Amino acid sequence: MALLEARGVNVRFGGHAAVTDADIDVEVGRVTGLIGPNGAGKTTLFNVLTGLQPCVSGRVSLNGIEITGMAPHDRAQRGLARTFQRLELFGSLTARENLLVAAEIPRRFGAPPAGLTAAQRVDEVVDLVGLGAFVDQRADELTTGHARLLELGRALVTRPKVLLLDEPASGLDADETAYLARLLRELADSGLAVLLVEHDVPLVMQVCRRVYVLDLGKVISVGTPEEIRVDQRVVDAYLGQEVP
Amino acid sequence: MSGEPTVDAGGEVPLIELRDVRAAYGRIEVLHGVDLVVPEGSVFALLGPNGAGKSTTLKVISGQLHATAGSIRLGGHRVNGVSAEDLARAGVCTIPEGRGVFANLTVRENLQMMTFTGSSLRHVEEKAYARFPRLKERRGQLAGTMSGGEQQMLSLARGLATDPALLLLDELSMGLAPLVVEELYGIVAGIAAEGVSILVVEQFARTVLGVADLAGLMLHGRVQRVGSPAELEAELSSAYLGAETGGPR
Amino acid sequence: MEDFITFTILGISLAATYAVAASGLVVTYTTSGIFNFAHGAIGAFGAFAYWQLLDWDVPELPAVAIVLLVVAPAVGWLIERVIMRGLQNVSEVIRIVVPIGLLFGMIALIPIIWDPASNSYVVEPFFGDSKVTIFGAGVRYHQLLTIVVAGVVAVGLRFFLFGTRSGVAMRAVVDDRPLAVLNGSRPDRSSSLSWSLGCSLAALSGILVASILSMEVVTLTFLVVNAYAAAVVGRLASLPRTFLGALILGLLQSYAVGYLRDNPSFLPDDVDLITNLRLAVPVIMLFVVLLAIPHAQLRAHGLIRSREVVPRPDVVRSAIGGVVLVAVVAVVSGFLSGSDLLSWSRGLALALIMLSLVPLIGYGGQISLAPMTFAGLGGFAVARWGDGSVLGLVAAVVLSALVGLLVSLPALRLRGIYLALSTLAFAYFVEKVVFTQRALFPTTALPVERLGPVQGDRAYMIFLAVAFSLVGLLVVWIRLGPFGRRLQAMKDSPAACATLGLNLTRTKMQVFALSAGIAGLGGALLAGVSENMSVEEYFAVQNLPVLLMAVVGGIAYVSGSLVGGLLLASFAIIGQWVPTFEVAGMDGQDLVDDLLLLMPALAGLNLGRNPNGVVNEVGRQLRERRQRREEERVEPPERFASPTSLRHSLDAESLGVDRPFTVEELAVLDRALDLRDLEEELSRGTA
Ligand SMILES: Nc1ncnc2c1ncn2[C@@H]1O[C@H](COP(=O)(O)OP(=O)(O)OP(=O)(O)O)[C@@H](O)[C@H]1O
Ligand SMILES: Nc1ncnc2c1ncn2[C@@H]1O[C@H](COP(=O)(O)OP(=O)(O)OP(=O)(O)O)[C@@H](O)[C@H]1O
Ligand SMILES: [Mg+2]
Ligand SMILES: [Mg+2]
Repeated sequence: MALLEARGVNVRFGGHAAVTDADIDVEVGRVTGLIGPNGAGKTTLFNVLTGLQPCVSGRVSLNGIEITGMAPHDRAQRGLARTFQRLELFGSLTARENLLVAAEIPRRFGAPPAGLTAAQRVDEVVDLVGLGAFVDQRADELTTGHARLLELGRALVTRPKVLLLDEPASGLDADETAYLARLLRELADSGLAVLLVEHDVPLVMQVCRRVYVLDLGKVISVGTPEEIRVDQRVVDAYLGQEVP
Repeated sequence: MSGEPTVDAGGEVPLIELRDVRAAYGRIEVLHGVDLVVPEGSVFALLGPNGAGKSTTLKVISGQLHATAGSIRLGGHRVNGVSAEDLARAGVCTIPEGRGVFANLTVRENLQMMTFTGSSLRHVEEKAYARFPRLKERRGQLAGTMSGGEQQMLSLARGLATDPALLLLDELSMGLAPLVVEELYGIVAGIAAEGVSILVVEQFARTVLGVADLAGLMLHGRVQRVGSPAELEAELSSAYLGAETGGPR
Repeated sequence: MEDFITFTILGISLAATYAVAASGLVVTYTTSGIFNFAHGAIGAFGAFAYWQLLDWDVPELPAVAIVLLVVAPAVGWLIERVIMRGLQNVSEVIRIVVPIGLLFGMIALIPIIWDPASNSYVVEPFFGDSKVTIFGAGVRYHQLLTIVVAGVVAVGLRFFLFGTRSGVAMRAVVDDRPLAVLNGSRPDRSSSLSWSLGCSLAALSGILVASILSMEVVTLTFLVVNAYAAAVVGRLASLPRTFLGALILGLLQSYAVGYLRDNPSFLPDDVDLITNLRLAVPVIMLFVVLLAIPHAQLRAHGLIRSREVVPRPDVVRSAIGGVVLVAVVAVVSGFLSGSDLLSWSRGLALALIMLSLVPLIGYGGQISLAPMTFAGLGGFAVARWGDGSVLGLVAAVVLSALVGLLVSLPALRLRGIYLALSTLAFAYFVEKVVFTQRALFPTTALPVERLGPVQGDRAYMIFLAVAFSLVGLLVVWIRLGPFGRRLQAMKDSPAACATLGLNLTRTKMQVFALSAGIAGLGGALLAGVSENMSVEEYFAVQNLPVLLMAVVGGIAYVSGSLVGGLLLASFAIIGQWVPTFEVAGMDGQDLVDDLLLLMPALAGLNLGRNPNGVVNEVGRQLRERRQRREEERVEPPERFASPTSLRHSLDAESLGVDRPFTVEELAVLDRALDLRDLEEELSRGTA
């Protein structure tokens, strides 16, 4: 059984079906990809998983426990963390304070590792995502790349079981993207379940073991990167001809 | 101060000419003397890593931020200190980075805002819907509730529909599906073919280099190198874009 | 049955008045992003201008035209130009407070121009008293006209805002001004137009109402408070729904007056619910509507840049600051005469009440317009259960905090202006229903006993300083801890907080209870100053100057509250100092009072330039001064090295002063440290 499971999720905005009967499994120890054209419903699905968007029908369960009706903070308490497509940092706080806020929220499930204070965990994460030089800068003055890394760090500091990333590489330059790829693989290896939404296809192909393709709210294909790459429906709907 | 505008071999005045431009946010200087020449009718790609000052350069050209030193000429006219509104009305079309739409207006009202530069609403709607049929389906939807990519399409529609003389594009490809990026740069090439000069800012090189006539590399608030796309691509992919995932979106 | 028809028709014409007023509010809000508290006052200004023209024998119709097409738009243009244009990228609370400043400005200004003593201002209704009979009820033509005007305004505005490019552009400017510029529209012109239009509508409602109600500024101003309820039904955006709201409100009020006559017989004699409830109908409706508004989904809104500065205070410095404050008060109070002593003590107590807003608004971004109401509950508690023991203060804190918890319930679903309005509605409700109960307040002033050991006026003032310092320290300590960080984070992005696992509901309830508790303590101590808890001091209107001055001082700073409280108290004190004089037949004291009323207004209006408050501004200027000096001092000669470094450490706060130095004080310091000479030396060197 997958750690995070969504079954038959439907979301409608007025007459428009944004997500239709989506089934998704996010498994431990690997990066799962979620790709699809603009407006396919990826962010909407994220919002359903994290509780920011109620769904018309469908079930979401985390670790075997149904979380469908739960408030966002309850889900987060049970180990779900996410980043946002449009940055959602605490702009008036410094980078370090952004991390501290997340680290200091009391956890109901899973006590923090013995002996580590919030500040120490923050330091750990600062090293992990490589924000060292910028920790004392106000978050709204960071460049996009650093801001993305900070949001990733802020999610990590809550010690999640499942990490949902909405276009973490958008706005990163080549070096930063490469760094992110390494980081994602390490995180997965250390036992995290990661769901990655990205338009940077090479990045997705490189780090994901399994990729879901969403189009017009429906899952049109699931498979390994190799399978996805040659799936004609995916090529037509999303990849286009020229992508390797 | 710098003297007369440069005149190139053909006797033409370049459309954009920046000479030793400096600019700052508050007390922090971000541009330390930018020199940039974009010939009329060309597509110029400005590349560089995060925080290099690319967006700031566009802000200076579009009048959103005033240079603290140096000269900015558009079509030979010195435009230091000209307001962004006046430049916009004179045909400088800027598509800003990130959110370029009015979130609380509907798609159609967003298109209506594009008519201040002289086009009629009919014309704007026709052109926008022809390129992006999706927008027509969504014309009554609040722009802020559209997906990231749909918003990007809407903001690019302004570049298409208002027949500008100069188009400034900031990170057009950000958050767009590969197919759409391809398509959009196809459109950009089309706009350029109509004689519009275009300055594109991107972090990734290859997609843009396909349509660009010239490219420049920006680092630490200066344009470090300018060359033909082919020259720069070779240099870039080995030096700066040589990382393992570097590649087109 | 006939009664019913009469009440219905009365209700509808009342509704039409509200509708015109409310639509003006909606228009300014959708086209400028600012909720104009001064709307009614501007309407009053329009009505007086109309009266003036009639007085100059201008016929009715041209007079109306001149007011609506010339005077009001000019006022609107001026307001936009001078005040509102500065309000870009400022926080929500500034956008709420600046119109409050404008409100006070207008209230002060109108009697200066149209002296209430020298004339009785009466305008006749249109068509005089002539009536038609509808279903047996006589209806004035004026009332019918009001209904028609309301309808025309509704349709016209809807078309203008949603059908024309200018209307779209106005809304676009609210959304994203820089982007509007890039589109080639002219945001400045759009804003001017929107304020002109809003003021015209205000004047229109002023003229229509003036003949029905009396031409009194305050009456006309607070008529609009009722219109808020209607505007909120339309969520400050939808005009048709605003009109529906106005209709419901008008009818409810009319039926309430008509049918709710007697108290239920089971109530004791001194408990009056009916009169009070009748008065509170609009407020109750506002509260209910705000609660019924669907819970806004938490939505990610992206990173927002603002000009707001986030203070990072320091416990040690603040503690020293507190000690200095107590010491200064201890010394200064010895030189103050009896009435001044009480006035400045009032200032300290007000500062404590303002302090309650620092965690709530300054850190948490939850805007409350009810600090004085909570203070009133504290005052009541100490009057009731005080008897000079500390238990009274405890009761004050507990009672206010509990009520604060109750009020926080709507806060869980509301943000920004909606939240502010619901707290104001709460304040009015308490004023009308609680503070006027004879069972609770047999007289309008309840005797209050001061805390046992601090009986003398001077001792009490020092006690106030101690209390302020201690609570201030508590607030600073909270800011530096996890809870303060959390509040700040919640202000920036509730959606991110929730997805990190923060229970927003609980956090908001905590901060509301904390704030209400502090306000209750402040109110109890304020009541002790005059040894009287007089209810008027805690009426709903009193919340407005308190919030205004708290923001002027610096809403995110403990020292800002101190500055705000003392400033507010000082206005009354200065009034007494100025000798009475006669100006051209006017009563001098009145004029002085009016001008003094202008002072908070002016202070508030300056916020656009300086949104972080006096304290921050002074600090910033000091820092810049220092920086400039350091830059000038590129290579200071060897022998000046030591005073330079000394100067460096003489930052205001490092001396433990909770208040930065004034320019004069700095000059004194500079002289004392021979820095003047240094400067001269340096400038000679560079020349
Ligand atoms: N609140 C809303 N009201 C109406 N339609 C909405 C709303 N939110 C999203 N939509 C629509 O639902 C669809 C799915 O949007 P979503 O943001 O999930 O797309 P996405 O896959 O994340 O796309 P992108 O890659 O461009 O970010 C879009 O067509 C969007 O316009
Ligand atoms: N509004 C602002 N206030 C203060 N500093 C800013 C502001 N905008 C940008 N900066 C700073 O200016 C520098 C250059 O920023 P700019 O946005 O021009 O970079 P860029 O090359 O466009 O980078 P990116 O690829 O991230 O968009 C950065 O260091 C950034 O932190
Ligand atoms: Mg998305
Ligand atoms: Mg940029």
